Amino acid sequence: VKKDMKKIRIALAGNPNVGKSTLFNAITGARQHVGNWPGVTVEKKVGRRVYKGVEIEVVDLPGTYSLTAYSLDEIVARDYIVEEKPDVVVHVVDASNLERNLYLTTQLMELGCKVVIALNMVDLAEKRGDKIHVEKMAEFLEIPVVKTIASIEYGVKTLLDEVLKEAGKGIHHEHEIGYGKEIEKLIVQLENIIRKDKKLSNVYPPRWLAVKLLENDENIKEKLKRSKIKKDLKRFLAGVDTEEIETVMVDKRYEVINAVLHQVLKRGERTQLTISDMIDRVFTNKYLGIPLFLIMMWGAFELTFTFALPFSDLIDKSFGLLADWIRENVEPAWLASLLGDGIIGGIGFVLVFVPNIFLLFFLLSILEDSGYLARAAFIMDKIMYSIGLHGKSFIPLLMGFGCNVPAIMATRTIEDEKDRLITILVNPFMSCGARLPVYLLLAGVFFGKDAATVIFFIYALGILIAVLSAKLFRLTLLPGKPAPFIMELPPYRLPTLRTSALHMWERGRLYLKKAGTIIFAATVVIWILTAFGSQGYIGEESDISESYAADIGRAFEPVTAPLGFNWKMNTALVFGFVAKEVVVSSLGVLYGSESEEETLTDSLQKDKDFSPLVSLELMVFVLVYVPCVAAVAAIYKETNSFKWTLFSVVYGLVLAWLLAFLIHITGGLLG
Amino acid sequence: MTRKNKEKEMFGLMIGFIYIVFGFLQAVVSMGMVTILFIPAKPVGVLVLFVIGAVFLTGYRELNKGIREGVAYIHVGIMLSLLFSFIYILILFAGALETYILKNEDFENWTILDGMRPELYLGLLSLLALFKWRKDFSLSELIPERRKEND
Repeated sequence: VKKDMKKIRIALAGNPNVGKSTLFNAITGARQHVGNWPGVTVEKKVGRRVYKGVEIEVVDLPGTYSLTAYSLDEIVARDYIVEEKPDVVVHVVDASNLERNLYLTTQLMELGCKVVIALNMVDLAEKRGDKIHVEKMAEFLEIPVVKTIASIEYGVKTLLDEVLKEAGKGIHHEHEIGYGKEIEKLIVQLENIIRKDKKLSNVYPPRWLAVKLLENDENIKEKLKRSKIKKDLKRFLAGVDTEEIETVMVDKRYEVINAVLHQVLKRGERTQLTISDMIDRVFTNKYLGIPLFLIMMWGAFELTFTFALPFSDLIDKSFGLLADWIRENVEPAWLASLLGDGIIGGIGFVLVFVPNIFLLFFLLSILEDSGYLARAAFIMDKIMYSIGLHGKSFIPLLMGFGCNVPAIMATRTIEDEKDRLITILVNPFMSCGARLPVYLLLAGVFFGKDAATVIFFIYALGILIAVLSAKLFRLTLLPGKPAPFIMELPPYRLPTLRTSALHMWERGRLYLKKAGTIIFAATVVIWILTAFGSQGYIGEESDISESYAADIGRAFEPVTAPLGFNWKMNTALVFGFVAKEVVVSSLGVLYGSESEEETLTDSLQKDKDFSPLVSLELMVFVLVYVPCVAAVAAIYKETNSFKWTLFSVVYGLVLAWLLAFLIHITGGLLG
Repeated sequence: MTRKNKEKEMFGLMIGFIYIVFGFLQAVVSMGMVTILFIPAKPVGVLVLFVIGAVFLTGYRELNKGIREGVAYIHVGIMLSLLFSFIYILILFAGALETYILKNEDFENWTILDGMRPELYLGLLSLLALFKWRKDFSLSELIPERRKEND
C-alpha cells in the first residue's frame, strides 16, 4: 500500500443473517467465521482492500434490525456510524426479506450518511419467483442499489465501484421521512433547541436527534445529560407522549417501505412447498421438534465417538511407538522419562482425541451452516422462557459445546442484564470440547461399546444442570421474567464441504494450539512434580507417591475421600483448572509413570481405586466443577464483578461434589 | 389428492409402522428380555426409530386428512432415514477398519453382521422411495447458484 494512496472507510451494516460477514470476507479476503446463528457478529471487525488505486478500510458492524438502542449491538453500530462517520455505509439487505430489511434503510437514510445498498442473496429471492426492479429501487430511495450473492462473490466489484463513486460525491443531505403534521411540528421545535448546542449539532444531525428524543431513546438521553440544553429538552419532552409518537413513527416508516415495495417488487406465486418449507414444517413441529433435535445431536455424538475411534487408535499407536523408542534410545534416563512419560505421554493423550474433536466441530459446523441450529433455538424458546432464560440464551449455550469462552462473550447480544447474567453463570455447564477427551478416555476404558451413550448422557446432564440452575437463579438471586424475544430463521442452505471444513479448522486449531502451549507447559510442570519430592529428585524408578504431585493430591483427600477419588485423580483435577484437557494429560503422566509396558487404559483398569462408578463420578465432576482459567477470566470480564465470578467458581465446585457424592451413594446402594 | 400423494401416504403408513415396530423390538432387546438377530441392545436407538417412525406417521395422518403439506413429513422422513443409515454405514466402516486393518483387541470377534442395526438397513426402503420420487427431491434451491459478475 503506497503512502500517498487515497483512503476511504466503509462500514457494513445490516440485519443479522443477511450474509454481512460473508460479504466482508468477499471484499477483504479475510478468513472470518461465517455462520447462520443470529448475532454472530458481536465485535467490530476490520479488514482492508485496495481497489482501483484506493485503499478501502472495511468495518463489519454488528447485525442489527434497527438503530434504536434496545441492545448493545445497536448502540455499537449506531455510535460508529454517527460518531466515526465512515465515508460510505454499505447496507447489506436480504433480497428475500425486503420489507423487514428496509426498515434499517429508512433509519440509515435519516442519519444522513452516504448509503449503498448491497441487495444480497438475490438468487434465493429469484428462485422463489420474486422480481426486484433494482433501478427503480435506487431511484425511489435515492441510493445506489447493487445485486450481490456474497457466497459466490457475485456483484462485489460492482458494489465497490458504486462505493467509490458515492465516496467521491460532495456533501450529502439526509433523506427525510414525513411523520405527519403534529410530529413534524414537534421535530422542528426540538431541532431549534438542539441547534443551540453547536458542539452537539456538529456531531449529530439535529433532525435525527430530535426523532430519537421523540422515540424516548434512553441512550441518546444519556448522551445529552452533559449538554447545556438538557434542561430545555427535559422541559419540552415532559409534555410529550413519546410512547404514542414512537408507534406512529414506526408505522410511518413502514408506510414508506410499503409504498416503495409496491413499485419495485413483484412477488412470485408460491404454489408448491419448497424444500426449506418442508424441512421447517417438520423440524419446527410443536411435538416432533425437540425429539428431532435430540436425535440429531445423538447422531453427531455417535459419529464423534465411534467413527473417529480407529483414527484415534492410529494416533495412539504412533505415540506409543514414539514413546517406546525414546525410552530405549534417549540418555540420560531422566530425559527419557521427561520426553517419553512426560511430554509424549501427556500431550500424546491429548492429541489422540484430535479426530473426535475435529469431527464434532465439523458436524456442529454443518448443523450451523445449514441453518438448523437457528431452528433449534426457535423450538427451544418456549422451554427456555419457562425455565427463566431468554430465547437468545440458547445460542450462547449451544456455542458452549465448542468453547465456553466465546460462548460467554456471545451473551452480549442479550439486552436484559439479568437474562445475560444467568446465561453467563450457567454457560460453563455446557460441556465444552476440552472436556470431551476426559469423557472419551474414561468412558472408552470403563464403558466399552456403550461409551457413546454414556457421553451423550453426560452432555444431556450438563444441559439439565444448566436448565435447573437457571431456574434456581431466576427464583432466588435474580428474580423477574425474561424479556420478550424476536427470532429470525435464516433460509436453509446446503453447507459446502469447504466452508464446514474451514469452520472446523478455525475452532479445532485452537485445540492444537492449546496442546502446543498451555498443555505442553502444564505437562512439563506435572512431570517435574511427579519426578521431584521433598527428598529431591526421586527418579523414574521410585514410587511417585512420594512426589510433590502426590502431596498436592493428598492435600485434597479429606474432601474427595467420600467420593472415592485417590490422590492421582485429585492432582489431575487440580491441574484441570488450567485447561480441562490437562486432566487427561495429567492422568497420562501420573499413570504412565508406573509402568513402561502398560498402556494408560491398562493402568486405569488395573487401579483398584478406579471402577465404572468412580469414572462416572469423575466425568460428572469434570463436567460441573470450576470452568477453566480462561472461562473464569471471561466471566469476570463480562460480568465485571468479582462477586459473581467467585460465585460461579464456588457454585460449580459445591455442585460437582454434591453430584459426585450422590452418584457414589446411589451406585453403592445399587451395588 | 394426486395419485403420487396417495402413494406417498401409503408409503408413510407402511414405513412409519415398520420403524415403530422395530423400535419396540429394540426396546425389548435393550431391556435384556430377548435377543434378536440384527437388533442391538441400544436404548438411544429406540428413540431414533420411534422419532423417524413418528415423522412418517404424521405425514400419513395429514395426507389422509387431505392436508397437502403433509407430504413434507414423508420427504423429511425419507431424508432422516437415509441420514441415519449413512451414519451407521460410516460406523460399520470404522468397525471394519478397527478389525481388519488396525487389529484392535476390542474388536477381536467383530464381524460385519455386528454392525447391522435397524437404522442402517431400514434406510434401504427410503432409498427405494428416493429413487422412485427422485424428481421431488431437488436440493437446488439450497445451493447458491453460480453466475458471472456482469451477467
